[in-house]
Amino acid sequence: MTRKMLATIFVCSAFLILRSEKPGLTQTATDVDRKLTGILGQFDRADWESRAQSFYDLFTIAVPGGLGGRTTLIPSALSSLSRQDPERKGQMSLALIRLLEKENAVSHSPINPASEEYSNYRGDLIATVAALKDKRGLNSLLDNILTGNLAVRGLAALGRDSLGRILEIASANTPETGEEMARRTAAARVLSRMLDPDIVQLDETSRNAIKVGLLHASRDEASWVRLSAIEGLSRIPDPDVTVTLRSLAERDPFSRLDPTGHTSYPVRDAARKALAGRAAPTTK
Amino acid sequence: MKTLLRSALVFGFVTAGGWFTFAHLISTNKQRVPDRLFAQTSMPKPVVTPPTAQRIFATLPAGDWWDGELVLNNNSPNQTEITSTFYSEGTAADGARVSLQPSEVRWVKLSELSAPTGKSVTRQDSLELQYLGHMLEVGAQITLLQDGGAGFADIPFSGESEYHSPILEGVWPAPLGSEAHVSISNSSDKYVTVSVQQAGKDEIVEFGPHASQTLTIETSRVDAAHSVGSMTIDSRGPIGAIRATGFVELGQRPISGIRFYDPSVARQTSLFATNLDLERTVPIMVLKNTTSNSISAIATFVPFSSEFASLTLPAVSLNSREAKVVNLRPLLEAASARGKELSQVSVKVSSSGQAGSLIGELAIARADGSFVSDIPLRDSGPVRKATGSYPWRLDGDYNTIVTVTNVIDSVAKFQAWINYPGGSYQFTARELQAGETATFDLRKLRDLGVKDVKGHSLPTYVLGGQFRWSIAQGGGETKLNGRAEIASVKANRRSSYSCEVCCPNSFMYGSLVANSLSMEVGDTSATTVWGSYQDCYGSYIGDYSTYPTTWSIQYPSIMNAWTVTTGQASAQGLAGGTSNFDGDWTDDIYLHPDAESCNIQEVAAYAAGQVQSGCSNTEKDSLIQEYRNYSLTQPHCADFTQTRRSTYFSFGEINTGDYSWALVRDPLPPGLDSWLTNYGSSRIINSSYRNPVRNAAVGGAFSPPSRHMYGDAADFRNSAGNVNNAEYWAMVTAASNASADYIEDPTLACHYACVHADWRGHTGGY
Repeated sequence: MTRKMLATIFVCSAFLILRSEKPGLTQTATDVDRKLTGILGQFDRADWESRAQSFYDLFTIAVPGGLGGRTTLIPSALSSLSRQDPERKGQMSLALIRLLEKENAVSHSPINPASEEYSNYRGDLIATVAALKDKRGLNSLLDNILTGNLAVRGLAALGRDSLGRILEIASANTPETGEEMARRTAAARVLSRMLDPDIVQLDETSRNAIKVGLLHASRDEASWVRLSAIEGLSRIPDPDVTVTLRSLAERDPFSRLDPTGHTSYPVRDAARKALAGRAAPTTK
Repeated sequence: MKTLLRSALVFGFVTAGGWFTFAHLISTNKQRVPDRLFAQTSMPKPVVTPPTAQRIFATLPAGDWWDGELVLNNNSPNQTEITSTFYSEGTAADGARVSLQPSEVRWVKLSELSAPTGKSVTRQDSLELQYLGHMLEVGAQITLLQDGGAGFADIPFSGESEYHSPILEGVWPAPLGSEAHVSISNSSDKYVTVSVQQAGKDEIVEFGPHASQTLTIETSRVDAAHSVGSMTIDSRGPIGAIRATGFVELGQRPISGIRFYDPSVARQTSLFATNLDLERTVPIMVLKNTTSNSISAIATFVPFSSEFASLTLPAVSLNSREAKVVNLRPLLEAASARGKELSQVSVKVSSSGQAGSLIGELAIARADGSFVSDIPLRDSGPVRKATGSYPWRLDGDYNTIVTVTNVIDSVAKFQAWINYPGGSYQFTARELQAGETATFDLRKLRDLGVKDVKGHSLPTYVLGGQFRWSIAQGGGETKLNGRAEIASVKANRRSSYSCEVCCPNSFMYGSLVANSLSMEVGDTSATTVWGSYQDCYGSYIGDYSTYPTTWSIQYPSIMNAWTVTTGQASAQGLAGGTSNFDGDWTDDIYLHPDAESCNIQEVAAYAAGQVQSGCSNTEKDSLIQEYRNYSLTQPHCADFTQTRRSTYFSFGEINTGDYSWALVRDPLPPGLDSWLTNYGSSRIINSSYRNPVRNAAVGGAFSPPSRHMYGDAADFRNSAGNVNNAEYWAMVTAASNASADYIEDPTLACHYACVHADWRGHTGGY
């Protein structure tokens, strides 16, 4: 046997040794794929307990021991799942969005379980779909616009994909019920969050549309909506916005007793705060 | 904290000019060893008797040697004064005195030692060394040197107590034309009559006090067909008085040393040798049946690695008192075919006779036929043979290889360490499978900077020292066979050293490095398990990792403990509370190092510790237990608060659980205040923090777990119930503006009776 042949055998052996460690990784990837397939298939189950169980099982692939109440781990867990099985990323996202759509329908139907377990599960599911930043999840998140910051942030993160629908809601001329007021307030909050570059980066056209929407919201009859709009307006340095903020700071009529029993003007206070924040650049 | 002042170890320090000394006081701040609560036993202590006068003796064979190099190896923790007496034609003359520092190894030219006698060393018949101490506390061996400095023959020293009978047996290879030179000395001051039986002849020789005689046996007088020579020496006089040594020459070149054995000292029927290099050398094995019955012998060669198969040669039949050369051709052919597998082997020669029925010699020659050295082929002997104390040197091109072989059919453990001028080096405790050999290449060890258990390496300036090893937890069995081979190509020397000390190391006490463990329920802490040992001269040797086989736990409901691997254990808190525990194993104490058996006593050794599991607070412990009972993510002790509040809500309003402690996550207090401020008037919290039992009582969620149990949720009461939904939606909007992450839909649990908001998506702890 020649030295060259021996060298070849050695190199091949070394390669095989290295490859022999690969099956471990390949096996793991296969395992992940098999688990994902099984879990996503369970999302169609009729009983919500099975769906919830499958939903939480999904995270056990990425987080040893599962979420265990740690909702803050959801974004990194989703990233990990996508890395482990990139080919199923799209399928997984869509399955999760469909799952939230299903639960949205359930919560407004007679079979709504109305239990804290179910509510809790829905909260984590909203957090998950929000973290996907997938425009296919727009409708399912819009259905949850009243459920707080997770949905608001998720909608804001969709940027241009959600902007039109949000502007529609923010400027809706709907009956003045508490729920509609809450919806317009939430929409104004979404618009405000869209101006946060940590959440989404938008083009000038979109930013102008947001400005128009927020200026409209600043004139809403509901003080909550005006308050939410001020948060976003404070991020827009334009002179016409400054004029609006000054007007709100000086003349907004909304007053109430604060928890200490004193009369306060929350909208005026918020506008003043926003103006104070932009004082330095304005005087330059 | 108790400081254990360990014994002072004093080492020699070598410089270019020689040795000088310094005291190396090892004082270690060790954590207090907790008292053991189970099976209280008072640990026996080895009895180190007062030092007595010790004499070791070597015959200096007549031959073509020019000088000798004596290596002195002090195993004592004390400075040892050695006096030397040379005997020539029965007349004693004092040689030079040597003072050895503790653990010092010193190489001395024989001519320098002999100088005060006024006689050339080549005219001396024997040498006796005296010191005050204990058996084998000083080891010595001479390498006779030819003109030019080449090694000629190794002459070991022995003490009287190493002999049990008047018989000495020797066997050697005797190719045609060779001459064997056997020197017999009377080490006593009594007259001794000796019967020398050799080649069918029985010769009576009278030895006066300290007299010596050299017999030259030409091969022509031996049966040349057998190529083997042998001799039996039977003396009438004090046991151990007669010593003998010799060498075989062929064409004035040494081809083998000759060693004599007292067969009655043997404990096992088999003979062993270690570190046989079949790649560069050719072995010659000779065997002798020392009994009047026929026996058979089977030689098995075992590769150093237990992965490779051993090789057993056909049985050799030996008639009454017959000596034979063993045909090693099958071995050499196998070594050639199997390459590296059989390049280094140990040897086991089993005898069908009783212990001592077989003696042997293993001479090693180079491929060109020149003599290299001889390797002792001996039974593993009394338990003290399961120890070793060897000199080592790395000056010039010298190297030292130490090998320790497991000669039994089950696992054996040993401890090894090095003393060198200025320090010590401690190997990890080793475990050898049946037949496996541990090899220590001292030059590689130094030059590669291999770290010891304490992270130290041998300094590059160190040129030599002392290598020590001892069987561990051997239960009185010898099990191991070791030797050192010191070789120099330039000096043309190769010597074998297989000196032992008085007894194996004795267990002193066990300890857990982390013995006071504080952990939360469910948490696991690792700790290291040590056994501390002393040698048979009372020197503290070191701490070696050990393997507790069982664990005793005071309160098993509070904690658990287990052995992970040798030296590593883990403890886990199971419930709040404090529990003592200890890891238990069987260890050995050699009570009387001067006794032949060393008086081994197996003791129940232990390393004790204490675990404080939980929060040192019964309420918190109960709370955490609730989380465990419901299989919820377990909070930490420090997560609970009794004071945390927001500006507008007191701790009492937030804590709607059953305890005075609650979990309140960082985002909750500012969230509640913002919620209330946005809403604009006071609100009642229906429920905020709930401990798991409370959560169960109110029908709260467990799968997935309610946010109320993690302290980032609150339910604000809707005072108007479901009548005034303006109030409800105002609260929802206020919560949304307070950045609540999740606000429950009115179709869900609270309906319009309350608004549930939580800050689950916010980061922040407790």
